[in-house]
This record gives sequence, C-alpha cells and structure tokens, in this order.
Amino acid sequence: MADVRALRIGGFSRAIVWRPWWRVLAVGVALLLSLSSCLALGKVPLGPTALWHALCTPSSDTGLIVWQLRLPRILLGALVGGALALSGWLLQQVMRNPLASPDTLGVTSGASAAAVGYLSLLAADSGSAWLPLAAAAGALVAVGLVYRLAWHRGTTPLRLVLMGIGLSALLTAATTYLLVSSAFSTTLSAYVWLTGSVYGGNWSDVARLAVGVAVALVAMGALMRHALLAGVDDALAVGIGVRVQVMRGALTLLAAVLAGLAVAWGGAIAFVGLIAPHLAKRLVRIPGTAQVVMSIALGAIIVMLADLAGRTLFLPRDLPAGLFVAAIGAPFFLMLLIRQVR
Amino acid sequence: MTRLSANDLTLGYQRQVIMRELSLALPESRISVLIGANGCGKSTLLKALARLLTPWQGQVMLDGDDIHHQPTRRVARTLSLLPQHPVAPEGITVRQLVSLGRHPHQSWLAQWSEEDERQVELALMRTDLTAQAHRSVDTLSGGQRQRAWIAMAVAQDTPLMLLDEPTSFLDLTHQMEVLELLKSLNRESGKTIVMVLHDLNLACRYADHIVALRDGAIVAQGAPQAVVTRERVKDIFQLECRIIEDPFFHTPLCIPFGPGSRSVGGESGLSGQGAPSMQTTESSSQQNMHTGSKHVTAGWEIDG
Amino acid sequence: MNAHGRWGQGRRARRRLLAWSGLLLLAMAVSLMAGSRWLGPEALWHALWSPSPTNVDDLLVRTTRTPRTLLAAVVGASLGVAGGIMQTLTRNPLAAPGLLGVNAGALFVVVMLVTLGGDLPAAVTHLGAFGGAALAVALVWGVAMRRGHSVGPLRLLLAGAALTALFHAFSQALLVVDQQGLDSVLFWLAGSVAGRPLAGSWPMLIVALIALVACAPFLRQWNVLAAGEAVAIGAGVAVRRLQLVSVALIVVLAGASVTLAGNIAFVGLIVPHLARRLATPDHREWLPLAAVIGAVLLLLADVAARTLILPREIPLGVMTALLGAPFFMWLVRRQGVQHG
Repeated sequence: MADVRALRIGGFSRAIVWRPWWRVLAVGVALLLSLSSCLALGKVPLGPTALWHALCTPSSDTGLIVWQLRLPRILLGALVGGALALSGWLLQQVMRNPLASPDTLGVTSGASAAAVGYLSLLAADSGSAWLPLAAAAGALVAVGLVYRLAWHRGTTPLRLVLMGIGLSALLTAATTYLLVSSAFSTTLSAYVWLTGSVYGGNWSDVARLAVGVAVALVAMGALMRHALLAGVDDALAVGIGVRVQVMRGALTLLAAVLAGLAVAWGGAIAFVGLIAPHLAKRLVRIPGTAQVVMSIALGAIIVMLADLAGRTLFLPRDLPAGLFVAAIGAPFFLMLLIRQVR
Repeated sequence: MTRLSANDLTLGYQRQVIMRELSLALPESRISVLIGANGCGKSTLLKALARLLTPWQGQVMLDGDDIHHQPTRRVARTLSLLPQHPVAPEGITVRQLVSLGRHPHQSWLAQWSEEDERQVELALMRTDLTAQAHRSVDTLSGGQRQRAWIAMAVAQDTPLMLLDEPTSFLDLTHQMEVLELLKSLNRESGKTIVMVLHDLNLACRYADHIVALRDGAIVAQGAPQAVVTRERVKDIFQLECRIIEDPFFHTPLCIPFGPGSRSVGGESGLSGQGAPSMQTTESSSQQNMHTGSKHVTAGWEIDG
Repeated sequence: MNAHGRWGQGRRARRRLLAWSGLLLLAMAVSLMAGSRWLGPEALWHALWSPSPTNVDDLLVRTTRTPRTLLAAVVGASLGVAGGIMQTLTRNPLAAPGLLGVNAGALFVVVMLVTLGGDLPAAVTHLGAFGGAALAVALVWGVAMRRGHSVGPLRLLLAGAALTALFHAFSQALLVVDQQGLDSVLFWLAGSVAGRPLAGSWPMLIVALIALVACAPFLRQWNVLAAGEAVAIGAGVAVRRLQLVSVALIVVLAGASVTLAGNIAFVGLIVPHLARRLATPDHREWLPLAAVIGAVLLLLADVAARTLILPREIPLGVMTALLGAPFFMWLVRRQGVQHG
C-alpha cells in the first residue's frame, strides 16, 4: 500500500495518491519562492528585510507598492495560471489525449472573438469594464456550440476535439476580420488582450476570480473520482456503472468554466493549459490528487514568473505575460512533439 | 436457471440490421461461449447483453427486469464487462486500475472502504498480480495487462462476467492462462461467465454451454459435444473439417481442411475413414496419452 | 486502378478534367469582370486584346485584376494539391496545410522578419515564409510518421492545432512588442490576393507552377503509398525517397501559397475531398482535378470576397475559413456518424 493511502473517518473514505509527496512539497516551496521573488522584484527592487518591512507596514511607500500594486497582480496571475492548468488537466483526461488543452475546445478562440468584437464594436460606448464578462461568455458559448455540434447520440472525445478545431478556425477567421477591419488603436489593444496579460490587476479582480476558482475547486473535489475515470474508455466505464455522457458533460463544463474565468481576467494566455499538466505528469506519473495539485501549482508558477519577466526584463516597458508563457512554452512543446515521435 | 436473457432482440448500427428477434437464455453459474464467423454478430450480441448497445426492439432481462430500465450502477453490481480493446488512462498503476472496478460499490462519501481494499487485494491475488500492483499498466506485458483487466472485473465482485474475446492478441500460453483463470473463477466462486472466443477448440474445451451464431441468428446451442459437429462447422464457418474427440478432455476437437488438405490426405479426406495424415496424428497422440493425463480413452471415434 | 481498367475510365476522367478546365476559364473571366466596377464581356475583350493606355477600365483589368486572378488561380491549385499530397502522405483525410500549422509557421517567420529586421527586401520575406513552412511541415512530419506507421487522426490534428497556437502566440507577442510591424503584417494574417503587383510575384508563381508539374511523375507511386507504407515497400516503391520528395513538394506548394497570398485556410482540406468524390481514388485522376477545382474555388471565393460587402472587402483568408470551417465540421459529423 505504498502508492495508495487510505483516509477513513467513519463512513467517509478516500484513496489518496501521495507517493512522490516530496516532489509536491518541492513544488510548494517553489511556489512560495516565486511568490516572494515576484513581490521583491520590479521597478523598485526590495531585499529580504525591506520586503518583510513592506509587508508589515502596508501604509509605507514600499508597503503600498507591495500590497496595492504587486500582490494583487501576482495573485491574479497565479489564479489565472492555476485555473488554466486545472482546466487543461481535466480536458486531457476527458479527451484521453495529452495534446488537448483549453484551446482545443474553442475556449480561447471563443473568448478571443468575443473580446475583440467587444473591443472593436462596443468598447467605445461602454468602456472596457464588461470585457471580462464578454470574454467568459464567448468562451462558454463556444464550448456549448462545440458540444452541440459534436453530439450525436452522445459525444466521443474524437468528435469533440475535431469540432473544437473546426469552430476555432471559424472563430479565428472572424477575429481576424474584426482586427483587419477595425481602427488601428483598437487592433493594438486587441493584440495585447490576445497575447494575455494581468496588467493592472487589483484586489477586486482578485476577489472575484478567487471566488469563481474556489467554487470550481469545490466542484473539482466532488468530481475527482470521475475525473480519474474519464481516462477509461467508454465501454469499460459503462461496465463499471458510470453514466459516461453525464460525466463527460460535467467535466467538460467544469473545464470550460475554469478556462473561461481565467481567460476573462488574463486574456488569451496560450499554452499554460497544455504545458502545466504535462510538466505535472512528468513529475507525478500516477494520475490522482498529487498530479492535480502539481498541475495547479505549476500553472500558477509559470504565469507568475512570465509576468515577472514581462515587467522586469525590458524596463521601462511592461510586456504582456502571455509573451513569456509562449517563450517558456515553446521549447517544452517542441520537446513534447519530439517525444511523441519516439 | 437464468439471470441474463434476451427476448426478441433486434439489433443494428445506424440503418443496418445485425440481428432480428433473437432470444437467448444464459445458464447460471456456467461458462457460456458465443462462437461464429467474423461479422456474425457475436460481439454485437455481447454488447447488447452488457447494455452497451440499445436494442431496436426486444429487451435484455437481468434478474427479471429490463436491463435498460435499471440504474446503470445497480447493473454494474451484478454484471461486469471486459470489452475487446480496453484503454487504460495514462500512467495509472495496476492497483489503481483494479480499484476502478469498485466504482459501483462506492458512494460519494465512501470511496475507499475497507471492503474495497480487501476486494482489490483479493482480485490482485487471484490474478497473480500482487507483485506488479505498484507498476504502471503501460509497462506490463500483454498477458499481464489482460490479467489486470480481468482483475478489475473480479474486483467488481459481480455474479456475472461478460468478456469480449479475452484471449485475442495473446500467445497460446497466455490464452490458456486467462481461460484457466476464468474457469477457476467459475468453479470456485460460481460466477456466470459469458464470452466471445475465436478459437473453436478452446471454446469447446472451456465452455459448458456454446451458442453458435450465423448471420445474426442462433444456429445451435447447448453442450459443446452436441453443438460442434461437422455439419454445423461447415454451416457456421463455411469450412470443411473433421471433428474428433479430444483425447485428454473428451471435448470435440475440430480439424479444419482447406482445399489443399485434400491432396495431402491422399483421398478426399472428407469422406474417407481416416486419411494417412490423420493416422500419424493418432499415433502421436497415443504416445502422449501414456505420458499425459489419466482420463484417456484408448480409441477415439471420428465424428460424422 | 489497374493498368487495364484505367483507359476505360481514363476517357471519362479526361472529359471531367476538361469540363472543369472550362469552368476554370469561366471563373477567371468572372474574376476579371467582377469587382467594385462590373465590366461586361466586351469591355474585358477590349482590355485584354486591344488595351488603350488611357482607358480606366483597361488599366483596372490589366494592372489590378489580372495579377489578382492569376494569383488566386495558382494559389488555389497549389493549396489543393498540397492538401491532397498531405492527406495521402499522412493517410489522414483531415490533414491540410492550414490545419497542421504550415500557414502559421510561415506567418510567424514573416512577422519575425518584419518586426525584427525592419525594411527587408521582399525576397528575404519570401524565403522566410518558405523557411517557416518547411519548419512546420518538418514538425508535423515528425509527429505524423513515427517509425513507419501513421498516427491516429486525433494526435496529428491536435499536434497541428497546438503548433498553430504556438506560432500564433509568438506572432502576436512580436506584434505587441513592435507595433509598427502590425500594419504591414495584417495582410499576411488575413490572407489576400489583392494589391500584389505581378512584378514581385513572378518568381513565386513560376516556382509554384513548376512544383505543380513536378507532381506528375509521382502520381502512380502515391497510389501505392496510399495503400500503406508496408505495402508500398513490398511493391518495390522507394518509400523513404518518395516521402521526402512529397514533403519537399508540400513545402514548396504551401510555402509559395503563403508567400503569394498569406494565410488562406481550408482550401487544402476541402478541395482534395471534392476531387476524390468527383473522380476515382486514383491519384492520376483526382490530383490534377484537385488542382483545377482548387483554382476555381479560390477564384470564386475571391470574387465573393470583393463583391459581397461593397465598397469594402472581406479578406480572402477569412472568406475561405467562413466557407471551409462549416464544411470541415460537416465532414467530421458525417464520419463520426458513420463510425459510431
């Protein structure tokens, strides 16, 4: 019983896979380290003691920088990254394919089309306050459409993925048209959004996203058993009494909501949803709680560090985090493709 | 006695009918084997019996109720299923895989009870996989993997087990291993086993009850000795053959003839009383008889 | 497919090809006539054979519409054939340059050159587009052909989709960093055959045409390859060499298309399907037909793109995606229903 631990309290029982627990612990430490380095670094670099001082006195100058500027932005990045990573892990599980990601189901392209449409058609009148809502709605509508189109007496992972690719192409074309036909300044702001960033994250953004992610995490906890079962093929799943279509629908919805939330606040940060679960699977081979925790932590770390790079490497410019996510992700992704060749 | 039966079953995919108004009752605590040529509908029938396929007409009855009207979890506590090409989630360990079989017995609250753990360890033991339990399913050999799937069905702890070609892609040793395991499950725990097998001789050896299908209809069913005859094999498989009695197990043994076999056998080989080639078989088997098992009859007759 | 049966069908195939070639001429004529100003056949005739340097219509036809028409025809044919070869090579009916990241790869290199290199001569950008296309094809090739047996459609397409996303992410990032580049790159992004003077496009047009003709000797070998690599080896086809040549042809055809017209999606997917449906599965019949159908489709799509929302234009790449994506989804649905 080295690999599966039993947790039993009265009638309540769970099997928990914590085998490489020290790796999970290491990633936890890495998460804390990257959080503190993100807090310390920036236009005004702070040493450990200065950082401690700033944290203790929120009303001082450095305290204001840390508490009002850096911390909310960092937390927003971490939440966005964690949500995308979890969404990617879920979809890879549901689609039974290591190359699936929130992009695959049309989440990103749906949100992008809605956001760019909003920016070029409505933003002039109503400001950009409703942009997150538009993006999230776009993401969910796109996933709903993909699901509907792939439905024929139930869905299969193959049809879902293919429909997702088809609809993504359509939505990308629409986005391109909006970009080409709208004013140049709109195109620029749309591009920043499409690259993905956590610019100007404040506490109210963090609070709203945190509530959404917390609700999704509770749902995830309840569905954990089914998330593991999703990797089993349909015939076998029916054999052990799983209502396959209900399970697939619920898990896909959860993944779509998570990605929609993340995209609403972080823009179309590509690749976190593909890379973070992959790294997690390399560190924790056995699917289970440890792998999920690892994915979330890695997703958070990736976006936090990418944002840190974006705002410190090219001072005085503040570049979108999505740029560095792509830069970090590319070599990894190529490695992945080459590994698939073997 | 029967727990699983089909009434007037009409099955098909899209617009294509596979079988019409088929009725079948499977004997309890016996090993039933569905045989037939490729495309005769045996896998389709098994899928329908396992509720993977909704019949166009008719019902599959499990314990007196339509299987499609029962909650799928309740069915899963009575009937387990091993499909033809099962897919395991990436990276999953053998123990995790086997414990998936406990799903129908678990609730949201209790997902890993002591009973679950006991049944999983028992299933691992029965399939001789305890030493491999911590390994990833991807790293197992073909025979071990097949045993792991069977262990999952065993952990499900159901009185009925349905298996679709559990021996396909296995070499002879592993085929025997799997079938022996299923037989012991049947003999020791009284499980009802229904499976599709390709190998007619192995089917005859291990089945208590054979159901022969052709073009989506049942041609014959019953004990192997009664079902497997030269005419039937010709009817089902479009194959000339000779049926002899297995010298060790007394089950029918089918010796197929192709067009070329005739010339080897001298005379036609289909009408003759024993072509030369068959006599050599006889003598070699008789040699084996002395060294082999005890229940051997001296002479064996040619069926048909 | 055998040598004997071929001639009986061959006549029908030739007639079919001839009919579509007629249609191609018609589409070219329509493309020359249609636009913000509709010109009748007479005006067209006049512009083509006895142009006067002062007549506005003649100028319009000769300097704007002729290059556009030629480009659309050649790009359409190239994409149709490139998609067809790709589908044969990967043994995957859903393979196409656009879906597998080839367009995005070429686009990425162009964006990189424009944003980082500033004002480069057109030839450098063109070569860059080729390089990007080659890189993407090499990656897809690596994924699709793992030691001899082809991978499932899902993995190939997901790899292509991820590759596309990667290249797009990079292109977007570069454009965010260097905003001056955005304006000059939008053309590539949206795909268009408008406003490209022939003077700069001649070399690529010729390259594409040569590549199209160069496909001819391999048609029979592709027939064998379509039956599977092992079968092809058994039949004495030098499979590795054939695959390399095919990949090279795909790179040239798709690369030239992107260079000439930017990101044009779905033509490479749809056209081979139409061609196979109209002809037999014999490459000698359907691949030439795919070239002609591709040209006709892209010409018509271009005519639609420039006339539907006058006085503005829909970018051609957007137009083909709007037409092609529903077709793709229909294809998936139909196949999905067939295979349960």
